[in-house]
Amino acid sequence: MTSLAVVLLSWLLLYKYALLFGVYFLSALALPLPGNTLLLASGAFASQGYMSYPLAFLSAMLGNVVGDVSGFLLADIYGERVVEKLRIKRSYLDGVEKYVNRHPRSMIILSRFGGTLDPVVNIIAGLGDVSLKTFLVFDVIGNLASLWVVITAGYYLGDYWQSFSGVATTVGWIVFALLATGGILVIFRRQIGLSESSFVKQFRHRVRKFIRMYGE
Amino acid sequence: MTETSHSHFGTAVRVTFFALLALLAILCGLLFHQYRILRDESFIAGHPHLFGSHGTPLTDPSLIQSWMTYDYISHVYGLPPNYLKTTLMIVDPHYPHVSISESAEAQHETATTLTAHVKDAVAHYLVMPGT
Repeated sequence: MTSLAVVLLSWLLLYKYALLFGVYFLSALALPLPGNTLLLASGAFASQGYMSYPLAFLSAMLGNVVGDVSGFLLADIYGERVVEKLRIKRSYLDGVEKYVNRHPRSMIILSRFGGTLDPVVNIIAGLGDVSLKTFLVFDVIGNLASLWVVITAGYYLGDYWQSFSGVATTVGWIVFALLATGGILVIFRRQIGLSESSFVKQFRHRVRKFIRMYGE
Repeated sequence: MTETSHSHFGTAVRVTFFALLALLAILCGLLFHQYRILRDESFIAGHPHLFGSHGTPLTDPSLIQSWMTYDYISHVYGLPPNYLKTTLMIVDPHYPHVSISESAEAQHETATTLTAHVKDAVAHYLVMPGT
């Protein structure tokens, strides 16, 4: 565990839900804080009767949603100006933005599992045409699922959660790498030099045909 | 966008993609390594405290760490609230809402030494409760 995580664990025992809210709020705004380690620990503390499972879950959830919405609104209001000031070429963002505008639901929900991807998608959704209502609904659904997995894992690992915290961190990074690789593969297929093969086209055609035949 | 910036952008995307693939391979290797460590320590073979017996006091003082507060330690090991204060002669006014490492600083001790004393005190209580 990092020294920051150790300090925050001490504070978690002292300030409980307020600290969980604060850490999740700040990590939703792209601050690199070990939110998942703290939530895993909170699940374990809940199993020992030292913290309340629903309160810990709610405070993490509330902190993350408030942070995500803040990031989204900040990007919506000031995003374009920041992009101009930083002299980022608008065309670089276009591919990602187009994809988020076309598939906001899956993009928002999946990114909630991706740690660092979460604030990036909030900003891109804010810069794009995603409405606040759509963002909020799918942000809540995504957070409900991703945070539930972590806190419940902590609850069931119980007294020995510390032995598994390294594994949990690695799994978190694997999910991040998988989502980021998949995202780049889907959005920037042409830039990577991969063209859609006839096999993929044929597969997609067969899936559509199957859905038409049995879906109605 | 010019041709040059197009190709720069394409290169950046390709480099990021292959870097992520390499990271993924390294992480999978690390996960396998961590799994083997846990299996060798027989955590994965089914530890008696895992996946059950929730809410009952802990019986293994080796789990105590310097970041833990006295309040938390007393709660999880079922100790009387002032047991650690009297046994270890802790004078910190914030007791029990203070961590071992903070308390060690106030008592001019190292966190490792004080953690060892806390472990001994808890082990002693678990062997002879009420003393």
